Amino acid sequence: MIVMEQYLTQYIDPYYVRIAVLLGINIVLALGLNLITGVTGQLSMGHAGFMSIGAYTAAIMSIHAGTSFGISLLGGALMAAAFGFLIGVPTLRLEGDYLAMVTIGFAEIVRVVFLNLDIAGRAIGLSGIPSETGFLNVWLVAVLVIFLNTRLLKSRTGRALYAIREDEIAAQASGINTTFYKIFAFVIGSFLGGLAGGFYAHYMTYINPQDFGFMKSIELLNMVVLGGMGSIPGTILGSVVLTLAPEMLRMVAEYRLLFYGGLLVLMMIFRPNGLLGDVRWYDIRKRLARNGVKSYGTA
Amino acid sequence: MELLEIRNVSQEFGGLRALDSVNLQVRQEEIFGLIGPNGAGKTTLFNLITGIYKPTEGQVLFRGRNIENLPPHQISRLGIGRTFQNIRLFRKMSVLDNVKVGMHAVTRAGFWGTLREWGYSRKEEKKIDERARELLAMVGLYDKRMEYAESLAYGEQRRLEVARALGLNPVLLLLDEPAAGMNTREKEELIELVAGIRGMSITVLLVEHDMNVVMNVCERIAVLDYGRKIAEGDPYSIRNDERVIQSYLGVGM
Amino acid sequence: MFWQQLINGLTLGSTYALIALGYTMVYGIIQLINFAHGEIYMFGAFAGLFLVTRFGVNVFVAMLGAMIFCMLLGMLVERIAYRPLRGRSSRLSALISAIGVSIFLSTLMVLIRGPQTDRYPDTIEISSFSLGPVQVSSLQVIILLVAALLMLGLQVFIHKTKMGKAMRACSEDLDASSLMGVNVNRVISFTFALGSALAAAGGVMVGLYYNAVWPYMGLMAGLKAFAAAVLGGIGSIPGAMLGGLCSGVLEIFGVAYLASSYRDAIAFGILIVVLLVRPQGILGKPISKKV
Repeated sequence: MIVMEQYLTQYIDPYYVRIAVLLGINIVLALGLNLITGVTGQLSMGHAGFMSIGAYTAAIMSIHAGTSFGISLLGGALMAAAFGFLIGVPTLRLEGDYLAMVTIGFAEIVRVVFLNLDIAGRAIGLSGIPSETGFLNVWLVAVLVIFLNTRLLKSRTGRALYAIREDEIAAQASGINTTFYKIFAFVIGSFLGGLAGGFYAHYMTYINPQDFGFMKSIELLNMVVLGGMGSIPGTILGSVVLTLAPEMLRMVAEYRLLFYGGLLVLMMIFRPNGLLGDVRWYDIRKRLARNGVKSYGTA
Repeated sequence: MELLEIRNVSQEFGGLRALDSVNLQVRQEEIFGLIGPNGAGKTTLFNLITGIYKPTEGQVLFRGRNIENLPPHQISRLGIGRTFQNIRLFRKMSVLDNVKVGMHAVTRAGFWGTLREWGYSRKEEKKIDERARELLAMVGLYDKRMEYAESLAYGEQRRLEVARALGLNPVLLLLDEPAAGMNTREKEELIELVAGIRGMSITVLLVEHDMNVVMNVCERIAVLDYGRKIAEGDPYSIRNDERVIQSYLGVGM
Repeated sequence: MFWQQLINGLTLGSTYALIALGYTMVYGIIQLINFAHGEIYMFGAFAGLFLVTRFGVNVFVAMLGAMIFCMLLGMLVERIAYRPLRGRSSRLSALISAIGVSIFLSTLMVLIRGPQTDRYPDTIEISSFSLGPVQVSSLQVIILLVAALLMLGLQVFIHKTKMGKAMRACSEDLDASSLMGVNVNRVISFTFALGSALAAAGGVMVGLYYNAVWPYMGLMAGLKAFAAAVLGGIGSIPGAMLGGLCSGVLEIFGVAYLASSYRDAIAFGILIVVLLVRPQGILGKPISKKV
């Protein structure tokens, strides 16, 4: 694997490799958020908070405990999942939009804590994290996450999650323990956030609390909303567009945020299900088949 | 024996008494009708039975067991299925998936099983698929199984709700105004469907405004008015009950 | 020390209360967390600053101007970003749209004038006097008085005028009010205007008190005020007032007696504890579902 990695970096422009790595990390992040917000319909606005918990935990493990990369990643992801559980249990049993506010608040608290924590390097941040993340290991995990996510959403569990988004009361009447499944989605989503955070830390080799601010959470939310809430291809498309667009357009940060804000409003008004949110293979095939018959008839 | 017993149940909403000491016994395998003017408390009673509300006073017993303090998902797991007056489908899910969700309570594949997708969960998924198709065929929606639920016509949506509720193999099925908004032909199909459900030895509790439907399918009927039960009996005696005629049926009957 | 902190806390809390009122009124009627509310407050602070520095008007005139400006802004936001979604979209969509507006407005302000912090010129003479062991500044007195007057005015408005009655009716049951002939769109629009005006007043006063206004001030203040509204009981107007005061006092005490670097974390700590212990807040009614 190391040989292949070297081979890659030798023959491909490092700039492209860098974008590909960041894209892989973003896909894992966005799929985690998609599970919470897109599939289950619970608005989480602090996904960057879980990412930072994963990033710091993994980095601290690598630096201070000298654990191997895999163990550090797992530790970061589990820590993020544990915090997801702690936040999810009191909040998700309530109805309504409290989760959005609690998650923003939580991410802010996390940021403030890291700013004040000696072991996290306070405001200076944490440097000297071993450089372990590469194209291959990120994409190996990303593909695995995409694969497992697809399976999950097609299963009994996945149907239960979609049902909660669509109508919570009807879901309960069908025997679904909605609180359990909401917490479940939240914990898995946080786990993926933490996992991606660990990759990020071991790619950048330097992290700082400002990397995981509110705007990072909003960027991730935009990936899910743009591509299509609840749709895996949609979320991947959203991640690709929002990872590449700033690179290609070289937009000034402020304009980018203005664009993000306007995009959210416009999407909600004109295409609340995102670009691919309610597009299914079934419908495409049906349309193709119909067109096929038509053209055959006229020929 | 009584399958469902409502014992002295009262429900208050901020000082308003929506139900006032209501008693009701539904027997095994009968079709029981619940009628009354708007705001009489019929839907409130349904929400009480299915655990969405907790009664202010009184008890709800299902097969002799108190269920008034159980959460909704546990009540449905005991075998109580329901439909909703203002249709509550999973709109952006396929018709087939709607029914599959309905079978959630009677299946058990978990997270790890579905990730591996072999062995038990795979067999179970196949069973779910077959059963869901059967139920859709029964309510006449098999050909529409891949459509989004929201794209169905009104009467079809009501039938899909019934199919979804049947998914959990209910012992007791609560139908909340299943004929609302249906035309005559659809109503006839509905009456047939309810008869078919009864043939599956499922007990049915039915709230309905359409007298024709109620009188046709129900064996016993209770009448609610302002949260109180004012009459109970077979269709013939209800039709001739003075108080019922006065408060509800009016001159039109 | 204790009394001093209490006065400081009440001053801060009264500005939270003014912002929290906007959250609670809008939530009471359309069950939307108007996420852009914090940005309206920020625009209010800048509108006031603009009037004071460009036209040299008196602070109170500037406050009035800021309130009128924000009324229009609040109504505009509602018209563009929320009304098209009403009735046909989920609450999640509306909330995401509100977040979009919030980001849009704060970046817009950065683009207009840059991200730096500005201070209000010294337009009012600040004297301070002692009340026993407590030092009270004239600014604190002004803030407390203005906030009290505005809240009193709001109470009178809600209970004595026709529009106030319509607002209360809509927060009980929007559909029924509409059937009774209440022009629901107008009431909602008006609710946004009223809430925005109160937030603008809060913005100008915070600008004066802390002598600092910056484009991202709305986010944190908005979140804290929302936490205050939840603490008081979301949907309840007296609850928002009480919750705002409590939050301000708790924050100041937290800074004074615990740790100042955790200042912003206190409000969220409160929010999470309230949701755990008493989700309907101090004065809120238990939420009942409609089926």
